[in-house]
Amino acid sequence: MRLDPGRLWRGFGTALFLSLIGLGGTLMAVTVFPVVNLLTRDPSVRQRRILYAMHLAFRLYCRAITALRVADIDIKGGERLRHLQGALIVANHPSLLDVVMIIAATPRVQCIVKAGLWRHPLYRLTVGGAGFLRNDLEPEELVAACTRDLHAGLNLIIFPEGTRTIPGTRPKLHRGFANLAITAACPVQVLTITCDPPVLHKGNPWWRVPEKRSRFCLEVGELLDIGHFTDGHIRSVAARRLVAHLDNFYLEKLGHGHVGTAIEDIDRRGVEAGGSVA
Amino acid sequence: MTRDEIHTSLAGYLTEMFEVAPENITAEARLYEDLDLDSIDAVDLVVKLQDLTGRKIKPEQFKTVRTVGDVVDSVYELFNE
Repeated sequence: MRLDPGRLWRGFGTALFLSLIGLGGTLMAVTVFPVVNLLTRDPSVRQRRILYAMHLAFRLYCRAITALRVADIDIKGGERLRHLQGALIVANHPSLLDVVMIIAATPRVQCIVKAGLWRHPLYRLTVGGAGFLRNDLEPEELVAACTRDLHAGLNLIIFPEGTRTIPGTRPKLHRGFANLAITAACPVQVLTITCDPPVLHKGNPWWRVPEKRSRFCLEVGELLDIGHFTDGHIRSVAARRLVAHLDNFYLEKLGHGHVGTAIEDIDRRGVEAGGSVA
Repeated sequence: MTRDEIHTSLAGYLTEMFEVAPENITAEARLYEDLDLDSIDAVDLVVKLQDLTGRKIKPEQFKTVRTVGDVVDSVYELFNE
């Protein structure tokens, strides 16, 4: 592995920005959140303001990543996210930065977060203060809480792949998001995220940064009308139709091997190497 | 109702409601892993089976159910109690 200055800088920058999520979040939780809480009586307005503050903080965070040339971030169709309300946001999940980019691009975003983070020293103040939803709630309770927030005009992020995608695989989409969208009768905003060359993906330690600066791309896709899927169908069939639609969408958009994955990268390099030998 | 009748009705529900291919519905097929049902699907299926038998099914009676054969057995027991 050759270590050029740009690559070293990106390795350092990756470490810096990874730790900044935990530290910056906690810093906000002990400064900005209490101020908002003091100045806002109505609890629902309070949470909105805190979520908006997180949106602004993540926007700054993404700008800093670009400005310091740690990575490029490209958002296509971002103005549609700025006006989005009461929609379930679904996205594929190639990297750790996905949720950050989505919150940075969308005001009013609610998230479902791993319950373990409520005990994590670096994250517990942030996730608790932001009023995020815990993933260990009883299923009925979680669906009710999500529906309440969606109907109140918040947007909710769900990654139907369930976890970050292992590069080069075609993940099976979980059906929970579809059941939720049908129960809440809310629109579904589809996003496509790519990262080329891949960084911060599953199975790759954060410090292993690629030779080239990574370009993250967040593309805002169609806003699905849930009525189109439920029309004349019972819940179980409608959910399967919605999942199949999204599965086909990502298949067409990303291809079998998912564009910009490590495996493709290796293939590409193999071809190039083969070419130069011949 | 005989076990065969129950199996036929259940197979009908599985294909209509959950788009399971008929050839996959065997007594050994597991509802979640093999037939791709989820927990909300299971609740809907219990409602359907209550309509079929005219008996109330308690959630705990359905907790141990794993396969198509298990469903047939528990509905059969319930119906012939």
